[in-house]
Amino acid sequence: MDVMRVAGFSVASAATVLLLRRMRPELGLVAALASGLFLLGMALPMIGEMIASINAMAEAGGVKSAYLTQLMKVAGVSLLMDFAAQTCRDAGEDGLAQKTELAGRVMLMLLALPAMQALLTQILALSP
Amino acid sequence: MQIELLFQIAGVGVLTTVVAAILQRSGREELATLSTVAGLAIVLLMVINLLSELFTSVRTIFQLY
Repeated sequence: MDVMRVAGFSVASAATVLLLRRMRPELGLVAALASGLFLLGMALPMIGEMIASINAMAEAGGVKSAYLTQLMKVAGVSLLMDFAAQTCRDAGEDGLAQKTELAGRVMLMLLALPAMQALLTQILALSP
Repeated sequence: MQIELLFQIAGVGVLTTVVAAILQRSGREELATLSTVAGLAIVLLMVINLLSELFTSVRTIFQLY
């Protein structure tokens, strides 16, 4: 667990981004994007391990793997959409960030539709 | 670790600003804006493969095909 590495890195990149934003705002944005990518890059392996263990537990618990992959897709879409929306907000483009989040929500709804249909058919099958 | 890339971006930023300031002092405004655009392009090229790296790793981890 490289807590110190992540903490030190984020503080150093915050200072760098502040310096760059003062001189050239657009370079400040790119530096913020780069440091965000680094931090996500450091967090992703841990997320991968966590997902593997969750999958193992769910398999043992008898959950159908189709819904699990759907759940992972939902997590991935929300992670990327949130990353893009935060970058837009960081650049001061709130309108753009809202639209990115709207696109993300629509995609999440699309991903959730099959599960909803399955649930609905099961409920209808119960009724006499 | 990958912090060198961040400091390279900072270095390019500082250099671009200095070059733009010098060009402006010597009376060539259009060259100053061109150097700023060039600096931004260099930095964006540096960050672009990092972005694709992140997208592919997220795709493999979350099975987002």
